[in-house]
Amino acid sequence: MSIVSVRGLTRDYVQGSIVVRAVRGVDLDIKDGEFTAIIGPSGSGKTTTLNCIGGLDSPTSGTVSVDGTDLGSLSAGALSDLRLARIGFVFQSYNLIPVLTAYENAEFVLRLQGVAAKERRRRVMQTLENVGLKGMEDRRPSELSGGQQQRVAVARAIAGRPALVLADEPTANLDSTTSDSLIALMRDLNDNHGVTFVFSTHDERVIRAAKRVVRMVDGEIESDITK
Amino acid sequence: MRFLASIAWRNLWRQKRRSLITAGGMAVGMTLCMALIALMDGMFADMFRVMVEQQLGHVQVHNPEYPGKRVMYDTIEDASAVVASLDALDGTVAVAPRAFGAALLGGEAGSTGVQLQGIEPERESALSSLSERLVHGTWLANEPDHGIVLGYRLAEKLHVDVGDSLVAVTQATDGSMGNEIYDVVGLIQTGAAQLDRTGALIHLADLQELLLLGDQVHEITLLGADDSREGIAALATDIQARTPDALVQTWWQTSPPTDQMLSLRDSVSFLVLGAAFLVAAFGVFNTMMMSVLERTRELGVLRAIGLRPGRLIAMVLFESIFLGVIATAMGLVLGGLADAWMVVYGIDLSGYMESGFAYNGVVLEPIFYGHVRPGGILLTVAAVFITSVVAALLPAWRASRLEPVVALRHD
Amino acid sequence: MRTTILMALFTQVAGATEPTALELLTKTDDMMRGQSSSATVVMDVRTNRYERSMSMQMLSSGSERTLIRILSPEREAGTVTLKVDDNIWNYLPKVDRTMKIPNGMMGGRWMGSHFNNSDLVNEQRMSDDYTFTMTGDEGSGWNLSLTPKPDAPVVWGRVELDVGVDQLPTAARYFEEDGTLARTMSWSDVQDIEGRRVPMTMTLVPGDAPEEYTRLTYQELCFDVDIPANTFSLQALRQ
Ligand SMILES: Nc1ncnc2c1ncn2[C@@H]1O[C@H](COP(=O)(O)OP(=O)(O)O)[C@@H](O)[C@H]1O
Ligand SMILES: [Mg+2]
Repeated sequence: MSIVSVRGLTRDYVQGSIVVRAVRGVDLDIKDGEFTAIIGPSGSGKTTTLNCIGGLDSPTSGTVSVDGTDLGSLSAGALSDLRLARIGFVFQSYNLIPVLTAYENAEFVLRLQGVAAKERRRRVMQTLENVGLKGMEDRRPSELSGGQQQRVAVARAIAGRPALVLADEPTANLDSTTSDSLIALMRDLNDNHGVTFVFSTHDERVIRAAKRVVRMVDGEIESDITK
Repeated sequence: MRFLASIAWRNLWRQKRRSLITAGGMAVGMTLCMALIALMDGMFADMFRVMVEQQLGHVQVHNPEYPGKRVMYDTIEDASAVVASLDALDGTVAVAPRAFGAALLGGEAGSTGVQLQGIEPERESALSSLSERLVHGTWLANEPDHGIVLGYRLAEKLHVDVGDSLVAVTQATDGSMGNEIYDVVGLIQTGAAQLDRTGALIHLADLQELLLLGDQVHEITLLGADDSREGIAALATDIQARTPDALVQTWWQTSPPTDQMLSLRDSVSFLVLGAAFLVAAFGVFNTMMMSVLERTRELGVLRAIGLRPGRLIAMVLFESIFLGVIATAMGLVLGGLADAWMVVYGIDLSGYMESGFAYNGVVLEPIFYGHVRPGGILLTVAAVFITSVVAALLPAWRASRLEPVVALRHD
Repeated sequence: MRTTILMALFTQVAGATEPTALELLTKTDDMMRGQSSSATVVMDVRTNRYERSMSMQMLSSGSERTLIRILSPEREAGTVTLKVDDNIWNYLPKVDRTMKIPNGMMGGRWMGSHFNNSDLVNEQRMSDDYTFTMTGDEGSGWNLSLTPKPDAPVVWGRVELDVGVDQLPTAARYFEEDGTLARTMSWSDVQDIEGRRVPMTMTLVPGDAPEEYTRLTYQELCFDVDIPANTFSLQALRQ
């Protein structure tokens, strides 16, 4: 069964008197273990699609189901709980909580999930080691490089063991070496830890790493190729 | 929740200067409130002393017919025995029998109608601080010797001073004309206008002799060890049991207007608090609103990774409450110093009004001393907390209602 | 007017003709005030609280000056009340002092009786202050109903006066503004004194306590006596 099932997703933005149709009738299924890139020119609707899948944005028409649950039927609180339990997010501009250390940022979701202290510590330490941040637990975001911050963001996204990690242009702010190693990390997590990833990108090298590439143009899916 | 609180605490220090200025503002408000409340409480304690303890006592015993009409014949009989039995009662600090009689009091230079008060000097000074209110001369002797103590205004009116003598003329209980010469031994200034203008105190035995009252009195006034309402009410019950035929009243039953006036204390405190914290509330509101607005994106991230709206509200409120805690800590130090100053030095307004402050027939000294009640401080602290929560409600609610996408797109 | 206890009682022998209301009123006014007289009076007071009897000597010269000296009982003997015009002084032998009654105390009782101090100073005449109507005739006596003139300085709302066939008043009832009976004064025991007909007993009963009274009884009464002018002076009080 698909983790995510998108049917006829359309999202209109009203800007004054103009209606911008950002996404037009997208159908998409994401299965467990996928490592999928959504690509396409700027403004083609990638971010909008990811936001709708993650329940951060709501469709104008069409449905998004996660684990078989229609997101449109959930209250704000229930949607929060679903994101907390099933979905991890990685944002283009890291978006860590500046007052928390790397460790605490990664731990945040586990705290919200109510994981016991001991288990929490074990999992956070393990996750930070997995993303290559061992020894940097006590640094605040301002004391980390962009690549390191994005690794913390990835750690935060996966620490809670989500069914799915959504990453919107995770490498856009990183130099090529750093972005290579981040994508290698994501791929490693996908290969060896079974984390499902859906990410949007412009980056050719990132596209190369993907197992499935969905190409969007003008809010529609132009091609969907699984390697 | 604890880690939400910990994030809130750290958030508070991100804008250190702003938070400290806001908390400092609240602390100054709190200091003013504490000082003002201490001052008000001091004034009301003064009023309690002058109006209740010096005039009404905690409990009064009368012939049921006496209050209101104050007819000379409506007495408590066998007064010595009654007083002795009340003396023996647990919890009484002072028992003072009193008799009253209208009389014409005159000297060489004029005469005026007065209410003679017959008191037992020793007992009266144990009860009220009248004897400490002497401005000239001495208190009445313990044995009846035809001495009289006058309110200073009455003495001015009669043009007499300590050492002069006065004649009192009255109608005794048998209808005959009682008259006697009394020597002015002292003048009192009590603060109670009535006493200062018409008060004329003589020994109870002297008045009983003048009025041919025998062993009768009109009033027995008592002070209890416990001046709380509960304590006084309990004392009244005990007294009633010993004087079944008498009318036993607590001071607030004897004088409801006094009660009403003294109960203004709390209204005044609330008014002061309300005014000060309305201003503080704007400060808190402003700070929290800015705090929420400038972190819109961050709050959006928290919502995105699964923080429920309710917990986001809690987080913002925590931040505001911590602000209140800091304000309280600073305010307690500053306010404590202000209170201490008010208690020790008071506020001296004698430069502005030499004769004191008249309120409802009570003249208060122009130097006001603070009176610190735990209740007053508690009230102030409660006000700080309520203010920090209430003023942050709107910012917190707004934060929780943000759409995550909108918040995330925010720069 | 208010009643007065200054009882140099004057009455002209009644004429033969039917009297007018004004004549009857004038007689009453005259009876209750004096020219110069000297009297010994016993005052009996009975109240719910006490009963007492006093004897006193009264000297008066016109209605302006009166001096009353208490003869008994012992406790108050020697006390003197002097009235000159609107002023009253009391001489108190026990303390050897004279005290003027201040204006505020004029309503106070005089010597524990039902009379108050202002009764002593009142010199008004009913015939000046009241309008009146009369019923009755020579056979049964007369009843006069008196209503104060609009601006008259009187305290009563209404006065009823009973006059006997001898044209002397027998009773007067004084009513408050609200119509309640304030006091009743009655005169009795008429005797011939030096050719004048004078009631020797005068009783005052308060309206709110009918069982109480103050009764003045003349033991001796002389008119037109020669009283030295300095009798009515403060200096003379101590004697
Ligand atoms: N909140 C919004 N208001 C108005 N237009 C928007 C909004 N979000 C996205 N759009 C428009 O929708 C289209 C798709 O945007 P987006 O999904 O961000 O594309 P991509 O991520 O592929 O660059 C663009 O034309 C963009 O301008
Ligand atoms: Mg985008």
